Amino acid sequence: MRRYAARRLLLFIPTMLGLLTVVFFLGRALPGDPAELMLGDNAAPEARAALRRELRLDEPLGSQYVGFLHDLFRGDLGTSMRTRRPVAEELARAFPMTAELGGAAFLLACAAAFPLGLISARRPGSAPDRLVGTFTTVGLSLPSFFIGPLLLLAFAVLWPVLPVSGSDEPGSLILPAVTLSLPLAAVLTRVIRASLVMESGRDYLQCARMKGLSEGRVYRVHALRNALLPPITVLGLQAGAVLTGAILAERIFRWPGMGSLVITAIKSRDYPVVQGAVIVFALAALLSSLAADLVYAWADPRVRYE
Amino acid sequence: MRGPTPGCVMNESRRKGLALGFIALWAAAALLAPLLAPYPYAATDLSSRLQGPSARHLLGTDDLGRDVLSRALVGGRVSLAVTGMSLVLALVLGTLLGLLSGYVGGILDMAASRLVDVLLALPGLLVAIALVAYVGRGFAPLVLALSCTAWVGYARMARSLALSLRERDFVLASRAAGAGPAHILIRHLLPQAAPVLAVQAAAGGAGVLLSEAGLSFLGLGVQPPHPSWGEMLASGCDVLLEAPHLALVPGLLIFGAVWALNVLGESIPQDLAPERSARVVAL
Repeated sequence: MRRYAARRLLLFIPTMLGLLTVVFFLGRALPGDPAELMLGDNAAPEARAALRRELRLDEPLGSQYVGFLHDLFRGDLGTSMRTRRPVAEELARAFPMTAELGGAAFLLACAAAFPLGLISARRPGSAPDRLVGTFTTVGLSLPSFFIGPLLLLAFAVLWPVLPVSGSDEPGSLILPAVTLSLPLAAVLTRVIRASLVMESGRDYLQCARMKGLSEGRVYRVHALRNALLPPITVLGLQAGAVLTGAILAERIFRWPGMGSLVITAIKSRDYPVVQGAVIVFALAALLSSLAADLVYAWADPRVRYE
Repeated sequence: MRGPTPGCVMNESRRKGLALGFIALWAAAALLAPLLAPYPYAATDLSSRLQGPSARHLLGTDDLGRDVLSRALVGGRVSLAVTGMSLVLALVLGTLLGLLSGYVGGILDMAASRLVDVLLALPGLLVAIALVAYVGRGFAPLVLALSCTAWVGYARMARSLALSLRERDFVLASRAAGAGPAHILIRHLLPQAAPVLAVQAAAGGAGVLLSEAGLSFLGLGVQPPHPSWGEMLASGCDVLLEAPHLALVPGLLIFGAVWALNVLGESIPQDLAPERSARVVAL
């Protein structure tokens, strides 16, 4: 296990470096002069020259790249063009809000998906299974940016008990978190069901049944651990997607997180903030897939010896 | 996701029929949108803002008094065109790069595989947002961003196909007869790989449409006054309580289209090819 973990952790370094390289060149591949794009056409030449110096645009590409990495490792992500505050500060203010929303959605999705997947896999084709199947089909097709308005309508008009906008009142986390969690819950329920159904035909379960164990015990004690492997992978891959999906949920419920920050930044050509936000989102996604791989190896000893 | 598909309240063939029907209707409406639309999609009429459905405006009007039915028709045309073009571009790009890196191997294969690994670990929406942020907004950047996120799946598939095909006898025979890599790629690998990849492309349609709608919803898609379903939904959200139909109409259309593409994307591989790998995109 320790050797596998060490190898996987070492692999993370080139991946992250590759990602940072892509982000760097994306920023330098802008059509035209970035300083001019950010300042507009009628900026003073001195201001443009100062910005070019600040962004290191007058240095050769190689030293720009080294400078970019150097600043990054010191936690310096540049200065926002719009607010003139350090990008790191802006991100540090917005990220906890998005992490709170994403974390709540993640937990909600797990809390819904595991029982639903178990119920559904217990008797494939039965009425509860078909009902859960409908839920997952609808959940996979309903984009979060349509679930949100529907929930908003329901809770603003028909049953006004929850706050529908902003983040100040108690309970204002509920609607955005539910919105964000539904698509993940649908995917996860499906994977759990499929994996349990596949597992249930295996010989070792027949053996457990022949021993006279109850069906519930067969599932809980024997099938579940093996059936957990695909959901772990999906959770790891989807954790990053949930954080990114929060951008959409934040737009609907006016939740002041990374989503509002990055969309405003894109529209006002605030490239340092865009770059910082992309790095944070990507880092979160890569870390969660790393975590999933480690949990996978812990749950399945076969992985370690490959 | 492998394994048996879950049951559903509707039975399988009826579901498929309904999905096919929706897509046919969508395609027909998209083709005929300029003829069918009762009003020009950008014609504003401030005297009749935010009206509900009526005989004059079958689906009502939006916050600038524009006819919602006309905008929904033209918006469907935009969504279909963007989704279709992105899928084709991603398929061509992914197939060529995947086959090449699988067949040629070496340093090209290593570089391409690392790029694919990084992109696969990142959420598609994030990659698309980042690309749009740098490349700009509009029709062409949107297609570029969406195909840049969708091609990785096809590249990976094409690469593994090329790896197994390159050792087959007919490829060896062709190489022994003196054929170069270009000939082998185009005449031998491509025809073998194309059907498998086409099936995979069908499964990717729903994800691309969802990303398109999501980007448009965030204001990063096709720019006003051109309508798209995502943009209509976003502006409907701003006046949700006064005129809920402005969000409901485009929302239901996106839902229907994604559902139909999901159903077809699941049934086509089952009907045609036993092996598939679906990348699930959750928004």
